[in-house]
Amino acid sequence: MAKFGTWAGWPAYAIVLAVLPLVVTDPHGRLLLILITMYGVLALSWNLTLGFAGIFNFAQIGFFGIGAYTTGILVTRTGVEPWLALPVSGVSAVLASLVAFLPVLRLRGIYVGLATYVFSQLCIYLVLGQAGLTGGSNGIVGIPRLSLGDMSLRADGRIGYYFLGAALLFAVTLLVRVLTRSTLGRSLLAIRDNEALATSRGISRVRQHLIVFMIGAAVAGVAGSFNAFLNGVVSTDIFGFGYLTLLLSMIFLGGSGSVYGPIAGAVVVTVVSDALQDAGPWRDVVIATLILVVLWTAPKGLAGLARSAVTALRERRGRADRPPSASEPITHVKELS
Amino acid sequence: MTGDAPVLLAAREVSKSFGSLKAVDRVSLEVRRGEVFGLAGPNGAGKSTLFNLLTGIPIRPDSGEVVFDGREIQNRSPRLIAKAGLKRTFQTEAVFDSLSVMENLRVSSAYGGAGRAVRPDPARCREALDVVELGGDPERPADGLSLIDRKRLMIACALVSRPALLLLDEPAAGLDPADQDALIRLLGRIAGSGVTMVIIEHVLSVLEALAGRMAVLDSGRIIATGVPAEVLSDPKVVEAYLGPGAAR
Repeated sequence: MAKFGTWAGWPAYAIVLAVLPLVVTDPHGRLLLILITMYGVLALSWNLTLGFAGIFNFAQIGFFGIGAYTTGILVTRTGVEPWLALPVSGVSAVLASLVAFLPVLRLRGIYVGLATYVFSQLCIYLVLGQAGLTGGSNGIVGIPRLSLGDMSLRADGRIGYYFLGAALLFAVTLLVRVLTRSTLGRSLLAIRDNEALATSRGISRVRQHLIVFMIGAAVAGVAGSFNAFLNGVVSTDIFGFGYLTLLLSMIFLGGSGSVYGPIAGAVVVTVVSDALQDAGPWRDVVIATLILVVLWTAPKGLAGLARSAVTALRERRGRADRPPSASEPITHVKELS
Repeated sequence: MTGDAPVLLAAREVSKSFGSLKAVDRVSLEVRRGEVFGLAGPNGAGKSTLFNLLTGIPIRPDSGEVVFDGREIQNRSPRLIAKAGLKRTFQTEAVFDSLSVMENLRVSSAYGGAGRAVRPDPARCREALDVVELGGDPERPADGLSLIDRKRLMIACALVSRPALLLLDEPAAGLDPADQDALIRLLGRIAGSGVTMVIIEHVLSVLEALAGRMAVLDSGRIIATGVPAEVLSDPKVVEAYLGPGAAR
């Protein structure tokens, strides 16, 4: 049985997500919230392979784009029910992940990074080469908005999109939490720590990495689909360096290998990036400096900082509750009555 | 007695070269079920290379065959060799540092068996901890353990899936005499429970205390095999350790 304390934060997390749009009511603020949920989902999915499994996977942006293009093609070319496009986009990203995984079979480290980055870039050429289907360099425009009955998710400052994004974020956070605490999650950490030892304990690197690669791709595909519905257009920009650096910033700032860190990273990077909208190239300089400062002072990112703060607080509390031992100096004397 | 016991592991004419260097040169040995077999030799003699060839991590023999429990395994993947019941430890006290003590055992228990991954067996995990006498909070991080406790945990992880054969690569390396004694007692208990073991060791007192038979490797070749007292007084062995003329 799971301890109550282990799960006590989840209702609070759900309540915060539910209440946020009531506090942030202006359209721009709502859009930021929606972007935070989408980036949070994508960063969480990427962190599974990059942070927990230690795979230099740069194909995640490719899966995100494939999800978006799958949705764009399905709803504009085939007339598929838009809601159905969300899971189908996840499936198409999983199929693509089987191709992207091929270099992981043999290569290690930075070579996997290079090969998977090439995969994402090849997606651009694939899209441009199939212009009849994908719109080529014009992209796909006129993707219909999602609606529930007569109510468009765009109504009331896109509140429907916010709740869809928040539901996805909550579900993916829960998925990552459960997955990383499972035997599969622990085996990923074991492989990351010491592959030879993990193999000698009977763990298959290829099998475990493939599973986590596919799960991450499915989530990224759904996030891509969400992005397509939110913007109404899809272009090859989605495979670009902009998304890649943005997402990496979120993961490293938040703390790679932490369950909640990428969400904190998504919040900070999205808000800072928006606040510096008019700063031009200085925006990237400020974000890069912020990441350097955080990683220099706290290599495990914001999640590591939070963990250290909680540990320090607990230790202080523990010391305060404990009577001084003989070896500890008495630093205060109670007034005698 | 182990002298009549069936052969559990056999290496036959196993060789491995790295360029012009013959690291292991036509080595043959047999380990019988239930025995403790020692492997000694000077630095660079090829002991760890031989262990790596037996377990497939990360190399395979150029020639020769390795038979475990009646089946040739020299072409099997290291994972399948491990799943067949041949577990090993490493020279450096390797544990999974990101995991807790108990999580180290859980993943070893879940994946170490013969078939597909199973749910970790909590009773076996606790039993393995008891066997190696690793006390304290089992949920504490493994990266904070002392050297001897890391070795205890490494051995417990190898034992948790009840291997038929345990290969220990220099288990006493880096330990002070008191910890060496503790390790000898621990390995003695494990051997007493019927686990077959092959131990590579520089600390010869460990092999004298535990091994029923042993072999000495020098320059990739076996130069002596037999009971430890005889092998360690063999002039070829003395010469290999102390240099030419030392045996006179």
